[in-house]
Amino acid sequence: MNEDYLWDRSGPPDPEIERLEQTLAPLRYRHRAGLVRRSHARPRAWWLTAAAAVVAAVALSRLTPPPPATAWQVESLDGSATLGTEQAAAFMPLRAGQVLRTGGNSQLMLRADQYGTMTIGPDSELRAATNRQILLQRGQLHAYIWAPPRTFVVETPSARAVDLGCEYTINVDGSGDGVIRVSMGWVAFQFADHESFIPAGAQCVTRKRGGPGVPFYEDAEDSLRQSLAAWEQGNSGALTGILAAARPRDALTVWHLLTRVGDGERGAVFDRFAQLVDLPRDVTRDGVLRKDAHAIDMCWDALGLEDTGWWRGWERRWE
Amino acid sequence: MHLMLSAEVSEDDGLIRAAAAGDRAAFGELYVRYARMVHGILLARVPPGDAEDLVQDVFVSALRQLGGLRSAAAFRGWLAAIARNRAMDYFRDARERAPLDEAAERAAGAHDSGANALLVLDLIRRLPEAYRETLLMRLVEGMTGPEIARLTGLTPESVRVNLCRGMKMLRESLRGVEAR
Repeated sequence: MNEDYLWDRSGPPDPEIERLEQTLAPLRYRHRAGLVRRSHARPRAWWLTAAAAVVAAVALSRLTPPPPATAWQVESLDGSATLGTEQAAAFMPLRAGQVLRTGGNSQLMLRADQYGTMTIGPDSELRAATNRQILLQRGQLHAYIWAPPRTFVVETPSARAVDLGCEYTINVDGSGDGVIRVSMGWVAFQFADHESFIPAGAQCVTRKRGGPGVPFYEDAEDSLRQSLAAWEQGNSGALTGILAAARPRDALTVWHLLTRVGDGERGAVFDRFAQLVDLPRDVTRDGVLRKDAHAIDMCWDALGLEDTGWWRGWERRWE
Repeated sequence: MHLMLSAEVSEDDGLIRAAAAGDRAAFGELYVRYARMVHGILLARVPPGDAEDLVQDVFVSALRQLGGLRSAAAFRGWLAAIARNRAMDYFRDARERAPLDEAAERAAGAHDSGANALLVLDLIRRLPEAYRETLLMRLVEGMTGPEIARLTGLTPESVRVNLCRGMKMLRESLRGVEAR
């Protein structure tokens, strides 16, 4: 056994340890789409299931106490809103599973001392699964979160927004598509293996069956925004327009494209990226073309958005 | 290496004191630095699907109690103890559910790449506690021995011994499985 490799990965790699590292990688601390718990319901006679459901419904309506209150409670209300079947009012708690609906021209603020505040805009609908998981079905949610990064998530029909210590606004339309705008800190926007990192001043659209798109700064040139929208809708020719319109600051957008474009287009994306940022000499074109995780990491570091130490604890699924 | 480690420990201590005084950003940084250690401790005990959620619980619990921490030096052992207690609470709250969940995960992963990971995890969990946690931090979380020592507060010598002995036992267990 190569003890040095086991100790600090120095010296020649030990093949068995390397194999174990690869085998155990799915369990590493990060969002793990591949290991979500699955349901294992056994087939039953339909009438037995139906009868059980009726009995359970009656029993639940008579015996079940109201669901537990979450840490969120109404701080203020301007206009009208309902919590479950009741009219919302200041100091009412948001209970787990309870649906909150705001009326037109209404605004409601929720506060949880350990987590932050959420301001819910007009014609919105959400519910709290737990203290730290909110499901926004439609409408607008403005969150200001002071809980530790990655404690709080907002689920939407098309993606999950993971708070990395920040302030942001999410809008979800009736079809389930949405857009997130970050005004302070960072948000990771996730759907299955698709992930986007959105810093302050940037936004990102998300589509119900496509997950999070490519983030871009709000002050980006119109031509970049239009080309990006066209590319995300399947017009691969629009990639040229994105690359041509990108300023050094838009390297954020170009970096996300490194792992989103097809193999045949990655070279052009990397070449543009290399023009926009100062890349360390260790970054090789071949490494990026192979989507080597370390090379993509170093490209991220070259953006100068946060140092590596800050990001080290966050999940990153580049491939 | 020792100089670098002591500088990092001292930096952590500054963060711990700032977090205890109510600095949320400092607490966030501690979260970033210690989440993998906490996850490794939890993974030694609870089903993988729940370990990640419990990491959040451990830090929320730590945030609530941090003001009562007497010294920065105690933080590492204290955080690890919260993680171990949270894992015990998990089984206390759902004594019957947990083994079923784990069995379900194992069954669910039977046809994908997660199955081998769960099999190896199961073997590691049968090792003595000290080896189990250290090996998970090294093999699953990707931490090096020096990092494990810094984050857990164990001496580098203890970590090295735990890694070597744990790895030796794990190899023997793997050979036993392969021979079946």
